[in-house]
Amino acid sequence: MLSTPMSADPLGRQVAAPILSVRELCVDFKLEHGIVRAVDGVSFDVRRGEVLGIVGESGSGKSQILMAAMGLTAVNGKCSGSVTFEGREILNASPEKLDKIRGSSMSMIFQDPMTSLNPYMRVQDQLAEVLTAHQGKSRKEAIDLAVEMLERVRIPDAARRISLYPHEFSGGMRQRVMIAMALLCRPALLFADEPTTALDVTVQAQILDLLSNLVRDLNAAVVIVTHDLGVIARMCDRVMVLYGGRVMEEAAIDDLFEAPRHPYSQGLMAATPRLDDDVAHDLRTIPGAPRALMGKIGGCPFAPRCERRVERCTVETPALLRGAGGRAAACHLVMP
Amino acid sequence: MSEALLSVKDLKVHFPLGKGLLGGAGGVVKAVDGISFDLRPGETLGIVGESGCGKSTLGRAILRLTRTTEGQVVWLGQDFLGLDKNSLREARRDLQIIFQDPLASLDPRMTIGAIIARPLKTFCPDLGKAEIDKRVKEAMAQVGLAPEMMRRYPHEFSGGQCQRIGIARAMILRPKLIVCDEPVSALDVSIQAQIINLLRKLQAELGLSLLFISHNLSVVRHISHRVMVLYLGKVMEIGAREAFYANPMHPYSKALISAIPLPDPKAERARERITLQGDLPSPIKPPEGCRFCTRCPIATDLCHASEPPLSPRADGRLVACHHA
Amino acid sequence: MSDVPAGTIEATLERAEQPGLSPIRASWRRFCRNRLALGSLVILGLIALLCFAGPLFFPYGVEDADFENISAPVNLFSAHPFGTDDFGRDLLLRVLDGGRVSLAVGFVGALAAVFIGVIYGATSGYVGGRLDNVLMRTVDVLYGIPYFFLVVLINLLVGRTTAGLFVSIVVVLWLTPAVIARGQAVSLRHREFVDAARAGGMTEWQIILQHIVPNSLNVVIVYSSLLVLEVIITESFLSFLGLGVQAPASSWGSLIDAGARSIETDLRLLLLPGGFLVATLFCLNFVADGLRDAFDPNER
Repeated sequence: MLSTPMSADPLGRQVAAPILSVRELCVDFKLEHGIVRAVDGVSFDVRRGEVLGIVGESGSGKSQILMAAMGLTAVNGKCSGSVTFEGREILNASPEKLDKIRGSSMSMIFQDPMTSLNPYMRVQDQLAEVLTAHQGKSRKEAIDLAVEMLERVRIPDAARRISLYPHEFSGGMRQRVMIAMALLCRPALLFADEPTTALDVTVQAQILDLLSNLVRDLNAAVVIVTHDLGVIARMCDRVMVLYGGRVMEEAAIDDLFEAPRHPYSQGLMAATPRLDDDVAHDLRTIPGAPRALMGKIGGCPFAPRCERRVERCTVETPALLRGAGGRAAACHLVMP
Repeated sequence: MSEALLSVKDLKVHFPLGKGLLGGAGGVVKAVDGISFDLRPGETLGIVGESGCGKSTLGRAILRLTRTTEGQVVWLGQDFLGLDKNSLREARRDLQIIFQDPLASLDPRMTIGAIIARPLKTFCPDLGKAEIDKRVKEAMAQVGLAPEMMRRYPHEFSGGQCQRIGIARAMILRPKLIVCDEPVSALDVSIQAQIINLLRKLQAELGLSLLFISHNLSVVRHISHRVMVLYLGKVMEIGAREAFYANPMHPYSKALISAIPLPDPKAERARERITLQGDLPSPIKPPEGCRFCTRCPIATDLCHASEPPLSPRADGRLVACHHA
Repeated sequence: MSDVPAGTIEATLERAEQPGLSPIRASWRRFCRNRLALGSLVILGLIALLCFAGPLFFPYGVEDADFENISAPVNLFSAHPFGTDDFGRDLLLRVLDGGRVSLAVGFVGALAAVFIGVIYGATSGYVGGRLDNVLMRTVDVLYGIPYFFLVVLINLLVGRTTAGLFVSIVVVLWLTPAVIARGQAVSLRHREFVDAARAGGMTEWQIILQHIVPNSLNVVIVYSSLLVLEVIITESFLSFLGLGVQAPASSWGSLIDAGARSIETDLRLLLLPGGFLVATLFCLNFVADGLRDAFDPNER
C-alpha cells in the first residue's frame, strides 16, 4: 500500500486523511413550479476502511448526495459546494475527468440491478468493458478476471454463467453481478444506493455479508445510503441522519443507536418496528409526512413535524454543532 | 371457540406458461400449491414469505381477483369460489383489499371523494348525495384525512395519505375482512408506523379481520395474532404470534427471523446468524420432496424424497418439517 | 419510496376548499403554454366561425348567380371580396360553405369514429379472452378490405349523398381507434385501481365505462386530433374524385376538383379552397402536436 497522507481527527489522533471530503454540498433542481433544494449544505468525510451510513426517508436528499459526488445529477440539477476525492476537486468536473475515476477508483452500486445492467449486453461484455476501458487489459485477460470476480461474489458456475444476459439471472444474483462490476477495478471508494432494498430478506443477508467481506479485503471507503436502520446497524461504523436535505445528526454507530440526541433520530428509532418491541403498545410515530423542500424555507426542516419545537425552530435554521467523540447534531434544543 | 369467518382448504393457483414451441404443454407456475388455514372474526393473520412464495397471489385468489385452479374457500359458511356473478358481487361488500402501491390503487381521474364513495354508490345506489358525502367525510376523519380534501386528486397527496384513502375506501362499507397486500412496504418508516397504528385502531373499533400480507416480519409482529410462513406456494409454519417469534420451529422461519437486520448494532454483532445458501428455486420447477430442502441447513435424504405434511406440534402450531 | 425531490407537494389545508387539479386540467394548462398549438387552435376556431357563421352575413345564397359580375376578379372592397366564378357565384361564399361540409364531416366523423372505436376496443381489451380474439380478428379482416371498394359499395347502397360520404368514412376510420383503445384497456386492466374496482363489486360494464375509458382518454385525445386531419383529407380526396359530396352541395374537395379543371383559366378557383384547406390542415397538425406533448404520460 502506498503511504497515505495523514491528518488529525477530532480527538487529535493521527489518522489517514479522508479519501472523500464533502463540504457544504447543495443540490438544487429546477422544476415546473420552482426550485427544489434537495441537498442543503451537507458536509462529511470518509476514510479508507470506514463504512459511513446515510439514513433518511423520501425527500431527505440522501441519494442525490451520491449522484452529485459521482457526477450523475440530472440535467435540471445544479450542484454547489465542494467534493474532493483523493485531494482533487471532482464536483462539477468534466465528464472526461470523471470517466477516469468512475468505475475504477470510485464506483457505485445501485438499488435496481435490472436498470443498471444493460439488458442487451451479455454480462461478460459489460464486465470486460470496465477492465478494458480503465486498465487497458486485453479482452481475454479481462474476461478471465471477470470470471474470477464472479466467483468471488459466489455466483455458482461462473465460467458458464458469465456469457448469459442479465435477465437470465435472479434478482439476488444480478445484484452480485453489479457488485462484481463495481469492485472489478478495486476501487478505493464505493457508493451503495439502497443496495439491498429490492431484495428478499434472506438474500439481503447474504449480500450484506458478501459486501462486508469484500470491502474489508479492499480496505475501501464505503458510503451506504438506505432508509433501513437494520442495514445501517449491520454494516456501518458511522451514521449520518438526513432530513429535508440537511444533516440532523451524525455519530458513531453504537452512540447513535444507544442514545440518539436529535428528535428526528429518536422518532425514527421509535417508529421502526423491532422484533423485541412490546407489541401491546402502538408504535411511536412522527406526525406528518416527509417532504422535499420547496424553495428556501426558514428554520429547521424538521420543525413542522417535531413535537419539541419552539418558536426559534421555525425561524432559525440550526447549525450542525460538533461535540465530543465525533458526534454532531443540528438542533436548537440538544447538545451533540 | 368462535366460528371461522374464512376457511381456506387446499387452495391451488397454477399459471400455465403457454405452450412449448411444438405444441407440447408448457411449464406451469405453481404460485399457490395447497394452502389451508382458518381465520376467525376480529383476528389478524400475518402471511409472510419472500418473492415467489405466493402470498400476494393467495390474497387475490381468496378475493377471486385471480382464478383459482383447485381448492375451496368457505366464507361465512358459503362456498365462495362457487358463487355466481350476482351473489359474488353481493358478497364483495364484506371482503375488501388494500394494495401495496398506494397511488396506483387510486383512479387518477377521480377525486378522492369519488373514489371513497364508489363502493357506497355501487352497493347502495339509492343513497342521496348528502348522505353519501356525510359517510365519506366520516370515513376520511376515521382514517385521519381532513374531510375538506374531498375534491382533490390522488396525485396531490403523499404516499401515506394515498394509503389512507385506500383504507377509507376499503372500510366504508364496514367489511368483515380486509386483505392487506403489502400495505406499508412502499412507505417511509415514519409513515409505516402511522398506517400500522391506524389499522390496529380500526380493527379494534370495527372488529375487522385482516389478512396481512408482508415480507417484513417486524411489521407483521405488530399487527398479527397469528403468523403463517409461506415458501414456494406452500405453508411452512403457522402459529400464534408470541410462540412463533419466541421460538420459530421451521428451519425456514428460523432463517427468516435471523436474516432480519436488527436496528441495534450490539445485538447485530452478537447474533448468531443462519445464512441460507443459494437462491430461491424457480416456482416452475420446485424441488422434489420438501420445497425448502435445497437451501435447508438441516436437510436430509428424507427431505429430498418426501414432502413433509403440515402437522400439529405441542403448542398447537402447525409445522411442515420432518425434523422440527 | 424513491428519493425523488420532485415528489408530491402535500396539499395544504388552506387550499383545501378549492377543487383539485384534475389530470385533464393539468394537461390542458400544459397545452395552453405551447403558443404554436394554442395559436393554431385559435386560428382553427376562427376558420370554423367563418365557415359556419360567415355565410349568414352574405345577402345572397351560395348558388345565387350574379350575372352582372361574372368572373369578377379579387377585389376585397367590392361586394365580392374574392371575386366570382364563371357562373357569377361569389367565391368566398362558396369556399366558406364548402368549409362547413369539410369541417363538419371532419370533426363529427372523427368523433363518431373515435366513439365507436373506443367502446369497441375498450370492451374487447378489458374482457379479453375469446371475445377479444373475435373482435380483434374482425377488425383485422375489415382492415384488409380495400378502401375504395368499400366506399363504392356504400355509395351504391346509400346513394351519393353527404350522409353516404359520412358513413363510408366512419366505417373505415373507427378501426384504428379501436385498436388503440384495446391496447390501452389491456394495459389498464392489470392496474391496481381496476382490481380495487372489481373488489368493490363493480360490474364489468361499469368498470369499462367509468375506469377504462376515462383513463384511455389521454391517448385517444391525441389520436383523435390526427384523425380529424385524416378525415378531412379523405373527404377532400373522395370529393375530388367525385365519389364524395355531390353538387349542389360542395366541400373544399369538390371545389378543388372544380378548380383543378379551370387551372389554366382561373387559378383563384383552385387556390382559394386549396388555401383554406391547407391552412386548416397545418393548424390541425400543430394542435395535434401540442396535444401529444400536453397529454403524453411519459412527459409526467
